[in-house]
Amino acid sequence: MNRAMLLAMMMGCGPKVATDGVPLKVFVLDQAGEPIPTAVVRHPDEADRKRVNAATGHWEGSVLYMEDGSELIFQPNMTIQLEVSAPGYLTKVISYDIKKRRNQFSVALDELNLKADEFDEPIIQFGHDKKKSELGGGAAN
Amino acid sequence: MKTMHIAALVVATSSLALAGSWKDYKASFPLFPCTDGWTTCEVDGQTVSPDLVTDREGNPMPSNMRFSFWDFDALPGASPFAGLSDYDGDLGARELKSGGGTEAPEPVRSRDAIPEIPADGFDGIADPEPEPEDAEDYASDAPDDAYPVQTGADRSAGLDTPPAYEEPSEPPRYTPPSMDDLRQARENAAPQEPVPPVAVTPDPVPEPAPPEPDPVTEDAQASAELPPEPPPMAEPVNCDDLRGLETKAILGNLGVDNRKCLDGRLAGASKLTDKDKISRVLISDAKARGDKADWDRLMKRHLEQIDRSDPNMCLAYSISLHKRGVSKATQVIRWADFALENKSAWSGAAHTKNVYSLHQLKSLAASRLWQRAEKRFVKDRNEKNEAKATTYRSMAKQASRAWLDYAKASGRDTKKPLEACVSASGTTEFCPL
Repeated sequence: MNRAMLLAMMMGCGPKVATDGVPLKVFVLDQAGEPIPTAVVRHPDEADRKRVNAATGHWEGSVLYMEDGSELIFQPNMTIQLEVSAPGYLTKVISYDIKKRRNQFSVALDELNLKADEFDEPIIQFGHDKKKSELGGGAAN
Repeated sequence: MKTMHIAALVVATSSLALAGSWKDYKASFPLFPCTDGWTTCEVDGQTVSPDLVTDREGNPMPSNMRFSFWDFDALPGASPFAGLSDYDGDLGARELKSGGGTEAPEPVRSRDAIPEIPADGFDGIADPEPEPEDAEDYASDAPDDAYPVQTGADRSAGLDTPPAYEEPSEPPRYTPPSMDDLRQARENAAPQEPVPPVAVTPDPVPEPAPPEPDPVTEDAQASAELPPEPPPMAEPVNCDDLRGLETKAILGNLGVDNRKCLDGRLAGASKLTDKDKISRVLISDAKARGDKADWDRLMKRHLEQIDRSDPNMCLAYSISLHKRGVSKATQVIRWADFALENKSAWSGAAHTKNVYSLHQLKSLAASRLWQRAEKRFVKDRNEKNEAKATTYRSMAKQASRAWLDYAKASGRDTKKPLEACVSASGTTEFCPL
């Protein structure tokens, strides 16, 4: 009896086994392979955005909390959708099949190509007085 | 015998050794004894030369002495104002100019005549220190009527301006008093009455006419001595004709003078319409010249101080600011908003194109501000930076969404507005096509 109790106590004091979900790691990089420190990762049904690590450019998680309060626990053979975006970059929406282990991948974002020289400057007219129209107008009779 | 010879030699040579040199007698034989500066002249029929003259007692005196050393007798050089002696030699065919009148001419002052001395003596210029009573009064010995005394104008009468100069018609001649006159005057002089100072006008000598110069030589010399001609005075610029200046402004040939003139007109104009017209000419000129800094300055002045109702100007200025980077992004949005307020001024394709551009400008500017705020927040994670990043992201979302909406409504390309919208919002749901 004592042995059984001791064994049970020892098992209770041991490290908790992670059973929330399979960890997922996403690296957000630019086209040069450099991490984008301002990037964010978000599930389409999620309210909040998750910022990446500014140094490495990665985000890691095993569960997402939806807008309705439900939890999305990453499980193997599950397909999840993520929106990876960053200021000045094109947003990418990706789908990923979660595996049992080694769930890490990188996403390369393209910069927005918004050139300033696309604008055609309007011609500034000189200030000429307009002739008063002699057609119609005036008070109604 | 030998001693006698030596003594005779000493006596003979000592007189020579003790004798003075010619320099010791130089003062006795002046080179120019005459008062008019000549070496020889005639005074009262007596020839005055560097040689010695004799006084009444027969004592030799230097010829330039005015009075005898022994008895104070007047010598030929007594008068310092004696004129040139008359030439009594043979003139040949030449003749002397005569005075032309029988009466003695009035003394005439020349330009550089001695100032007239007031009749009351030297009060004005006297030494302020009182003279002792036992001081020797040399003036009391002088004769009263020895000279034709001229007294100056009474300055106490308030005559401030000097008498006008009159050109003499004939040069008067001055005849110096003779030796006898001087002696007679001295003997008749009243000892107690002081003699007023004498103001004698020097005898003006007519200048001989200068010889006719060689015109060629004179011109050449004058041109060589004259300084270079100064540059012609700049004519005042007239910038009243704005229509005429518009042509130059389009080509950027307004010039500094016209620009300054127009600036002055603009500053002094009371009507905003006038300021508007002038400012537009200046802006057009700066644009044509390619002077970006000046163009920016003039545009800012026009929009800030004169008028901002022209959407073209607001759009042009907004585009210019957009090219200057994120530091002007808020101003880009500001002026784009002003342009959108007056977008009704456009019509047709210009309206569509310009409004599309304005939305694009706003979206890009907001996106730049958002990027900058996000970078700052990543560097320094605090609430303030986070709030700024959130605010600018929201601004970018709204602007890009408006851009996308207008692109859809106007039938223009929606690719770029959609990208901007999705980038800012992070989701495609916010940016429906």
